[in-house]
Amino acid sequence: MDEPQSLTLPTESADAGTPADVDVETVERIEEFVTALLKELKARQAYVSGNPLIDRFHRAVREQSLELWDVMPHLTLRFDESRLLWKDHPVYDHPVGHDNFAFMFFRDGLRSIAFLPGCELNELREFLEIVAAVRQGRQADLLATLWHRDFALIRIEYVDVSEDEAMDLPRADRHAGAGEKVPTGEIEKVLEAGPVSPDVDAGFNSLRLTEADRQYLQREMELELTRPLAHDVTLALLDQFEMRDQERRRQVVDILRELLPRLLREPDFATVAMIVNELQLLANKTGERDTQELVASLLRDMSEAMAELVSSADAIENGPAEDELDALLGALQAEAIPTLVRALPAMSDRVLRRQVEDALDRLILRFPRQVTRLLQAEDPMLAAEAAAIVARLGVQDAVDGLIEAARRPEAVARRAAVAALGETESEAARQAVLSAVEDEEASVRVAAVGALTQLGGPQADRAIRDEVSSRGFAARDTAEQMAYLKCLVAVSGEGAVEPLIEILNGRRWWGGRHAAALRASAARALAMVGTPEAVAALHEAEKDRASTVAHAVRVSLRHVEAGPESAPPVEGDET
Amino acid sequence: MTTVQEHGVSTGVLTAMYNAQKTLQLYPIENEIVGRSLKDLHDQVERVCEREGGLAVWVAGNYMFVNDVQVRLDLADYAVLAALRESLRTHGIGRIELAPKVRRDEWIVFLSGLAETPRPGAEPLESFQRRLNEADVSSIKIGAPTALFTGEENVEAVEAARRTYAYSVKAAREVMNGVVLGKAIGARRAERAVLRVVDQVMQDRASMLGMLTLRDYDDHSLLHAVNVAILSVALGEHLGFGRKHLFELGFAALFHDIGKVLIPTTVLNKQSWLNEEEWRMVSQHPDFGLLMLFEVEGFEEPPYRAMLATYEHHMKIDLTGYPRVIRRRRQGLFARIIAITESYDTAISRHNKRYKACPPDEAIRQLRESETSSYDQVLVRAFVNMMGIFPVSTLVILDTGELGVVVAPNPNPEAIGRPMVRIVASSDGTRIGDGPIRDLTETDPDTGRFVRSIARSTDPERYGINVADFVA
Repeated sequence: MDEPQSLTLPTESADAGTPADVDVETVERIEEFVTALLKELKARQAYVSGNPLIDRFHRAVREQSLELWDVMPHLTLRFDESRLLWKDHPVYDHPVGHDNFAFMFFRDGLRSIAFLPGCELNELREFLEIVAAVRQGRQADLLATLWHRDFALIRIEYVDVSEDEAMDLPRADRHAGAGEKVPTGEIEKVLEAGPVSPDVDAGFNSLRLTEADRQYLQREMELELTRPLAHDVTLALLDQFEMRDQERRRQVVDILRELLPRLLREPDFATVAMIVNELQLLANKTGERDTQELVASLLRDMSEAMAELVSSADAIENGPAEDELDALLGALQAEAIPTLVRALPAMSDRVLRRQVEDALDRLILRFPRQVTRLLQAEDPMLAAEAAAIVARLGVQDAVDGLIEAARRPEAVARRAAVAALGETESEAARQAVLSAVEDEEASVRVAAVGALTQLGGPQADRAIRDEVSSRGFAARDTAEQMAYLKCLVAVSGEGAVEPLIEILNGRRWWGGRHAAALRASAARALAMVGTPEAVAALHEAEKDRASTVAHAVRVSLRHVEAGPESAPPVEGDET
Repeated sequence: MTTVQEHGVSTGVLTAMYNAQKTLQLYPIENEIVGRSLKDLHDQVERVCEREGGLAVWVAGNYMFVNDVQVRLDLADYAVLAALRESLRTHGIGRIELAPKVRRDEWIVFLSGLAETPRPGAEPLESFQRRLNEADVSSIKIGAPTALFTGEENVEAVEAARRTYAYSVKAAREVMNGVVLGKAIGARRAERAVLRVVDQVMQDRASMLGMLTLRDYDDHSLLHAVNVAILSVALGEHLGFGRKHLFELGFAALFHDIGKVLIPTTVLNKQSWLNEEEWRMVSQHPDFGLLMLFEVEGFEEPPYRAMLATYEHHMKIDLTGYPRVIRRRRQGLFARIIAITESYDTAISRHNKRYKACPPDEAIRQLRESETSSYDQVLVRAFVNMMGIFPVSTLVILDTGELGVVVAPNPNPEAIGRPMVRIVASSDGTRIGDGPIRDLTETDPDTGRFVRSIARSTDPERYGINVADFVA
């Protein structure tokens, strides 16, 4: 068995033979292999990764490889400017040019490549991906890329592309001074001392590495190679921020402005959380306005990206720890509001959603104008969400925005805005809501009626009564009718009884009764009022011929008997 | 013979060998654990032999091969394989050839023998072979190590080293000039330089280390950057780092002082001692380096490891160096390596009158005697092991009265005080142009004593000898 000659290329077979001796069949096999390689390469350039055609070409390459290993232990090819050569025999020869496969390697300094058995299993595929990437300009340096990949079964040799690099270096001149005598004073002293004791060697034994040393080195290498690099670099940057002047702080912040998006993309929650925490602490510690503004501007710039990350945290496998999430949420600025508002409805993790919602609420209370601006967002869903939030938090300065949003072309936005207006205490809001009662969209009208229920007032009372008493009221759908009746009860109080009795037991202009569903709704509304007159009217309808009505009356009477604390009767309650 | 297909198989065989050796040391032969480990070893060897037709393990310097394939030391198996390599070296074994069916008793004899210390005075390989013969072990054949240094100068390697060195200096200059002009730091040329250094060190470390003798031909800071890169890669390679990490280490080392570009040359080159303000400026170069490396273009990811090495290399292992540490950290391994290699190169060069350059062996001695708080002592020992007590380019006076220049460490890693030396002046004081290379482990067959030993190192200038002529 031969010793390995080279640390890179495997040894050539002893029976390599001269070019004249090479077997034609072997050459053909190699040519077929190269052709198959090039076809797969072209496929990788033409098609997206994963395309079945690429797999087909790769299978052909594997088949060709296996045929090669039947006749040779490895395949070593040389590159020149336009050819691939096996033992000086061209196995690929095309005109020189940028398309030429051999030239691509030759230009970058590569001179030989060896394929070893087994490379067709995985490495050859990766090799061709790299070559394709270079051809397509996605990778710049073929040699460096291949070198870094460090294939075990594909080996390359390269040369210095610049022939005259070493010209600058001083040339050795060993013969300078040859034959001359050297001063001997020191040497004579040495000779006087006699031969060196072999015990001197024993003294060096303590310098040998022990097994304990090797274990130590292994641990240290593991620590080094598993070191959280980005995190530790960040520690250094923060140290610089803390101990140096304002100019250095600016440099650090500029760097972090580039670094943070990268960390967010990974996502490295721990490091990002650490950065935002530490920067805020340091900014407060210095008390210097410039520094505080520096940090604030960074956090503003990063807020949207951080909000995106936080919003998708429930979809990430190793999501943030609780304290990391707190840190990120706590660092968010106004710029995060639109992202959080948009993301909140889609968040499935309840705990996360709660935390984000709390953070959003805090942000909105700090930056109310940001959320009112969202009422005019291009996206109507966003505007609707903003309106809901405004309502929930009672953002007072938002009324004008809500009124404007109530006039938006999109029903979803109008509905939310109108509902939100119901939470305000404003005459302008009331007028806007009253207008919305006439909206073309039923859901908006229902929302408006709901809002009027909150707002109340004589105008609301009149408007509702008028509507309930009108002929057109019967044509509304059940949900809308119920909304109106509830509103009537809320704004009119006992004054609602008469119109309700009229609906339940009265007759319409043509002598017939109202629809059973409406009458049932009226019965429920009467129960909400609960006066003796209301109760009497319910008793009157107890044996109504319409079973829907009779049932609703019975439920309503039970509610009345149970007292004001019991839940109001709802549709569909059979008990 | 076909080559081993999978790297995992080759390390598997060696790991099984080590494990079996260890279990034999710890347990009686009849123990089940011993039985299992021997069976595992037997199975691994059989598998390879069936596919490859045989199995041979080679040790050449720090490299190990299984059949034709170099075993790459991964992190997971570094300690195990390094220990096995040491066991083999201790017994002078550089080659093991195994037949497909090695008997259990043969394994026991071989592995137990590896665990024992060679008898002093006896030639270890011969003694081991005798032991195998006496026990009728015929399926395991052993041989001496393959020498990477044959005693003849590798002219090709030296030329390749020169080119690599020149390219690296040019790359360093390009980077520094770019920084001075306020341009972004283009990494491509520097990347190529480092990968060439890594390859050259892995092929022929001594030739690359010889380049450290080339002084005064270019700006000191450029040469220093390249020298520290070479030394660091050499030490990393000696420790068993794979190519990827050698590259990262080399790249970090090349840029470790890049922050000095921002320090006025009047301060850097000041011939007398620095005042407090000047020292404050110089001591910020790691800070500057960290920030500047964010400007590097051409990498997918920022060169974090290089940044940390640049930032930490003056911190000292106890963090009492600079820059000041506020947030808890450790001085990283790469930074500790660079601290040592930088110190060594600074000691042996003379770039201004503030420091008197010292001979390489004196620089080694200073490192050995350094405070434990300054440098990682295990790494210092590893560095000394790699460089030898008398590193390449040391001019030495031999006890024969000859003058010699150290051209390579001894291929026997145990002989760190007995390097390969080219004779440059005979015992009568006559200068020799192209003198022979002598192995200082050579012994007189009659007396058993060493033919030559180093009496002391000396200053080449005293003798008008340019050591670079012999190593670079």
